[in-house]
Amino acid sequence: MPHWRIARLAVIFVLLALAAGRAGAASRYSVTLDPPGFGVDEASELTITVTGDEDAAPIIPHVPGLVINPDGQSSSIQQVNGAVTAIFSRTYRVTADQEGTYTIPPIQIGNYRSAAMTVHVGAAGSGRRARPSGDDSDQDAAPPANAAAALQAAMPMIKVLLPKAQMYAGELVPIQVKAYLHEGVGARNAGPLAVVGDAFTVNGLDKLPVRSEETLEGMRYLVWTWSAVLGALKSGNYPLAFELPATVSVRLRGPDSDMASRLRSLFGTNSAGAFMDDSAFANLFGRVIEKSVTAKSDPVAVTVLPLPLAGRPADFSGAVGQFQVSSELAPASGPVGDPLTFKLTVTGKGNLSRVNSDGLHDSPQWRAYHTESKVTADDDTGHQGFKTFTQPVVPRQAGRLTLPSLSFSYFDPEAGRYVTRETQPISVTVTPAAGPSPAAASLQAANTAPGGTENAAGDTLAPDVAVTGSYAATLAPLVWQRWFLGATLAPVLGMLAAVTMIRRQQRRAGDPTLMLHAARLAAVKINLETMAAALHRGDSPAFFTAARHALQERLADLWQVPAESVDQRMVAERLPQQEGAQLRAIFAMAEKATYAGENPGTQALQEWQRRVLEQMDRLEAVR
Amino acid sequence: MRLASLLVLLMLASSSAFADPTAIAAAAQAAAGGDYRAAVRGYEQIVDKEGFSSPVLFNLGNAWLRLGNPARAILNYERALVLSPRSAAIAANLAAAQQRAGLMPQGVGPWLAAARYFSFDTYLWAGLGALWVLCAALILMCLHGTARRIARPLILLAVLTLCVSADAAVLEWPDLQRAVVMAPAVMHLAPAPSAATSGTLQEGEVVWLQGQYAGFNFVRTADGRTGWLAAAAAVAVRVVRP
Repeated sequence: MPHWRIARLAVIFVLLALAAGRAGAASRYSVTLDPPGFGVDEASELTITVTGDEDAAPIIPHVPGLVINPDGQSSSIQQVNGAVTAIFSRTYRVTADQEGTYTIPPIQIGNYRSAAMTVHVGAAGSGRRARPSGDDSDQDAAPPANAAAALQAAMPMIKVLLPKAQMYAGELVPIQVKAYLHEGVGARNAGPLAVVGDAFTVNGLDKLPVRSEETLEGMRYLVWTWSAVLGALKSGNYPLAFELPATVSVRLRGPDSDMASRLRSLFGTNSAGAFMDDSAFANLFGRVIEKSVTAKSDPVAVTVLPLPLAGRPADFSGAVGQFQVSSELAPASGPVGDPLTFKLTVTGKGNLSRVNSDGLHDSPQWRAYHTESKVTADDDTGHQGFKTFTQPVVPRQAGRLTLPSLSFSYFDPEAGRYVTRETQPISVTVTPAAGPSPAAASLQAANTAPGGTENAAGDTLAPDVAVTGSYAATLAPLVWQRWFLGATLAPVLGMLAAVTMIRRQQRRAGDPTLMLHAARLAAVKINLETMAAALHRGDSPAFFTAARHALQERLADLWQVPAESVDQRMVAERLPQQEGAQLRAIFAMAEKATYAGENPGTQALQEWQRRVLEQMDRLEAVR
Repeated sequence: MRLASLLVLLMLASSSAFADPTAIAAAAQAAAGGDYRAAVRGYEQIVDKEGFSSPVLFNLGNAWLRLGNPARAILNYERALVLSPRSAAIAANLAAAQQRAGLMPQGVGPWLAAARYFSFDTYLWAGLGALWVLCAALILMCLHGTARRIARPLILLAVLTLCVSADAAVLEWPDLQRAVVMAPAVMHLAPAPSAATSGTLQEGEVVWLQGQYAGFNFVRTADGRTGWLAAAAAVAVRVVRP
């Protein structure tokens, strides 16, 4: 194990031992309000310190008119003459909306109750201080006197790297702005870096800065660097300065930090000392204060020259920099009437946004349309890149045509003069049109029909037509109309319903169970008819045979058993005594009539028929 | 069958009407006499009262163009093309109006050009008819014998028609959002008059409406630029009533 790890473990062990040693020691409590009087636009700091015992959370009372919000907490260990004590400190921010005198009731901290305190709140800006009426503890929680000095030392330093102190109005000059932060000072952006005043514009300050480290005069700094482009809005002498809102945090070396120094000297400046610099550990030995600041650079004098009037070209549009121009036509040739695309490209460094061109103009050979432009920057600041002007042109004549050259003028700040660049003329071979389009042909036909190139109105439009046909109430497409949705869904739903019905019928037609059920119903019907016929004839055996068969089929359908297996015994097994009595009687009578030749007579047969039909109805109801 | 007949009757009743011949004659006479303001008034009254008709919209576009308002002319030609997509006269005068407004004729791909042979609604009608036939054929397929033999070619025909109609309708779908810029206008980066501008639009330029918010339409131009345009600056081609 590396020796620094052993040292770190040893320190932890010592701290644990110290913590154990202080257990049971008597605690001291301190409640301070600083300042005890303040204005309505100010705040006071309520500090509650517990020394020498377990930490206990205070119970902050509610005071009407006062707002008491937690502002932070810290803990530290103190060793005096071998006696080690822990210090727990909590701070609260106290504010008030109205002037007056307020009383903070006693604050409960574990078993301890502080005395009540009186707070005097004055008018805005008064900042008057008053002594607390009931502070019963020592006053060692006042802010350190070196806070202002520490914050001043932590203030970021802004430097501007400007390549030249003289520039032209409209010129873009690349610059760098650097913010130097002292090593060990925590800082973060609270807002974007901004230029002071209205004489300059700067592009690129909204980007995240590049972070690096630098050593200046033997001191190490964390450096934030912005690369930007400076532009002057008006001529004259102006100071150039930047400001950076930031939040800095510094650690104060107060009484608590003596402990850290002692431990550091105890372990030396080797690896064990490095452990003392560990942020988590170091938090125990110093108070960190944080403040919002605005760092400003020293102003740099810049002279902005006006663009000279002498020698200014007529087509100068305000472009300042160094540029090259080129042009092309795509496709390079074509028939009369077909559009070709002319592209003018201006490449270089400077204010590309001010680069402008009217493009080509109408001529007997060419029809020129509206020009579209687009800037493509090569860097984040837009200082370097190219701007293209795209313009459709249509040849009006066949033959060897020439697209004329275009000129573009700008001011070159390095040379201090205006420069005019020209594109090369473009030679184009234009073939005759292959034939008029249907639309053009129709137009021509309409116009020439009366015998001339112009219609009655004296123009070349296709003439008015006779108004015939019907009128549509709407131009809204069918899909926006509700009935169309219904008309679309209707066949689908109808088809689904029809297919479902057909399938169901087909399924039923092929189902053996359903088929058997239908056959049995038919058999029941036939047997009942046979029974009625036998009654009419007075044929007792045939009557009962048919009655028995009808009941067998009905019961077989109900119980899902073969009809032949249904007999008096099965009825007795499956039906309760009372319920099956009539059926058993019918089956018994049927056996007597069939096998013993018993003939109860016509009157009795009618009664038996009633019983059979009654049982049939009952079984149907059961089903 | 009875339902289909009822449906057709309903559609005919809702979508068609016939105009007052006197009003048409008066508007045509005004145009022939060179009184284009009176012609515009007459034709617009006919549209307001009776609805949209391709010849009326065409004549109205002509009158606007002769009055020197190419944007209004383009709007009416565009509407006339919705009803008569293959009219060469409308296409020719639309091109003339665009040229008058300093606009480049819009290039159209071969598939879209082919799809525009019929109107969007024609494809929907064809698709709807094919859907009914397909559903009927699928019912027949559940039966046996001759019905099933008849169903097979019907299904093939219906599916083919559905596919072609759907493809063409998809191609023409963006056309439903076309609108015409009535006067030179600027597009903004956000739906607010104070927002930074993202581009300019020419009078008569066709844009595609993509969405709307707080009195602004989010539009796309033919060359792919987008931005928020004041709702009143562009008029949609496909509307219920002007």
